[in-house]
Amino acid sequence: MPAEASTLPERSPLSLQNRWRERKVISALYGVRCQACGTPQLSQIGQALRVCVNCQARDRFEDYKFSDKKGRLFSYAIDQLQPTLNPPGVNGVVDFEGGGRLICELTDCDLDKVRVGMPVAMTFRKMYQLRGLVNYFWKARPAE
Amino acid sequence: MESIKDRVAIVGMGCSKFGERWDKGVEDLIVEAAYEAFEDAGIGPKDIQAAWVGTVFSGLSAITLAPLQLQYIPMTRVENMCATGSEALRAASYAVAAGVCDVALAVGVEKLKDSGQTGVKGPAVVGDNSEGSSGIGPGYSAPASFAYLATRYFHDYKLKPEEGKRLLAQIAVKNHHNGSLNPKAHFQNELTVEQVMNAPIIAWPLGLFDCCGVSDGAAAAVVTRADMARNFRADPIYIKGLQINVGARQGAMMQDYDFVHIEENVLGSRKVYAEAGVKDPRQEISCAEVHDCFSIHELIVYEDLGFSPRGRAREDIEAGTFTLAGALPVNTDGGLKCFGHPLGASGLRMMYEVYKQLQGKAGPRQVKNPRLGLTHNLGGNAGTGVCSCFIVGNEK
Repeated sequence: MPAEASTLPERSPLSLQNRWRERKVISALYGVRCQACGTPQLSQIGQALRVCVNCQARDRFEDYKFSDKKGRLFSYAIDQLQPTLNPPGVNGVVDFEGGGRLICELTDCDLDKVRVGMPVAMTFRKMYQLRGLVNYFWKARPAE
Repeated sequence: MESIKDRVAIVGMGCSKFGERWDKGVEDLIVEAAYEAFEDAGIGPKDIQAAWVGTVFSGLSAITLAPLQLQYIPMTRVENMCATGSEALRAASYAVAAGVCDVALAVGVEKLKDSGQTGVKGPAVVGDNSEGSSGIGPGYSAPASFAYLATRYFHDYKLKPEEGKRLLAQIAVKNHHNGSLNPKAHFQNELTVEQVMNAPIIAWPLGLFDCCGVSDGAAAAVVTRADMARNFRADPIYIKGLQINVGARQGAMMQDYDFVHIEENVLGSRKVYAEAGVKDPRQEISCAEVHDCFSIHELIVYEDLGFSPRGRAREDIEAGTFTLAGALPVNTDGGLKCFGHPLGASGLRMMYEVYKQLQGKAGPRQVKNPRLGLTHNLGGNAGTGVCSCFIVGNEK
């Protein structure tokens, strides 16, 4: 049964060009690790990272895979307005073992059991479909 | 590097009625605010030598100001999220300080209610490209992006949800009381703590009355050289500091960010205190207009701006420190919560209230013997943002 449409304004159209450039992030949750300071990092909006968020070294990155890293929930927000296929929108600040942070949607969780410090793992999911394009990306699920 | 302190003065201000202005367009709002500012400064539109307009969604380029029919002068549109109105004032002030014009106009405007939708339009993800998105941002609402702060604040300071929500409710109640004394505010009603606590949840733990009004409105300022200010009026307001401080997603990407403060607020306020020569903001600031887009953010601003010691805003909220009768009244005009938040207008709306307070013209909301006033905006959210911190005073 279709969920009631969100009252929030429609999202920006998906860009195939942007998604092609960032295909490694989108399909395998790759980020980068700075070779100067060792900080793992992940773009929050699908942009290439060129300058390190921690030490500002330019273009000294190696690929770093986040999809297999365990994480913990640093904070969360349960959103009644969010346009999601899985309402209400449950969102978390996920801190990965070994470093790096992603703010993303949560899934497969019991609302009453979501808590700060909850262990999570990443899972590849359908986010939404817009103008004929299906958007797949990563969500966090409880891993207790 | 020179400070802006005492080089520029505000000699006229205007502010439209905020609210659901169904019968008025963006052009009406601009004319309403700008002509009040012209009359307040004792000038006409022909005296304006340059103008800046701040809007996030309500017009491209400075042609947005066409309704004023200023005749072929340099004009520019600026945009810096919720600091947009403040950014227009900063640009006009810098132009005057640079000596390239003597009388400049800053206008902020937003017509949010023409969209027919709830909330604020535009990219759902901060910094996302409205022409085409990667689609990887979760697209949660603005309330959710501030709910992370409340969740973590309650966790770190061991507040039960009921205790935390009761604490935040007192901020909304205060701001509605102030706004109920202000005919230009969007909402005209008082609220009770129980009403706030029992309101429908928008983004847990924030409820409807933890969220500010989404409004139409405009505000405007006329600025000139400080040494010319008394030619316009006997009580000009002098600019003491103008700081903008912008993040680069550090908090969203690195684990050392704690979600119980906003780094942009902390650094931006320290810089403006240094520029204005303020040593102890709690003692020296007479009144402040801060960015209460969500109740939790006003609480965090108390701590970030040094009004309350870190982690101890609760004591000040419960003691009434920030009420009209308190030691440091905050959001005396009702704030974003009650006055409303037309994005591009808000920074200048805040300055309008501080300007009136410092001139002793705030009516039933007047604070006692004010000397320095502060305005503060935060665009973006916990994780990355655009912060403005301005200080003005009534003595040179």
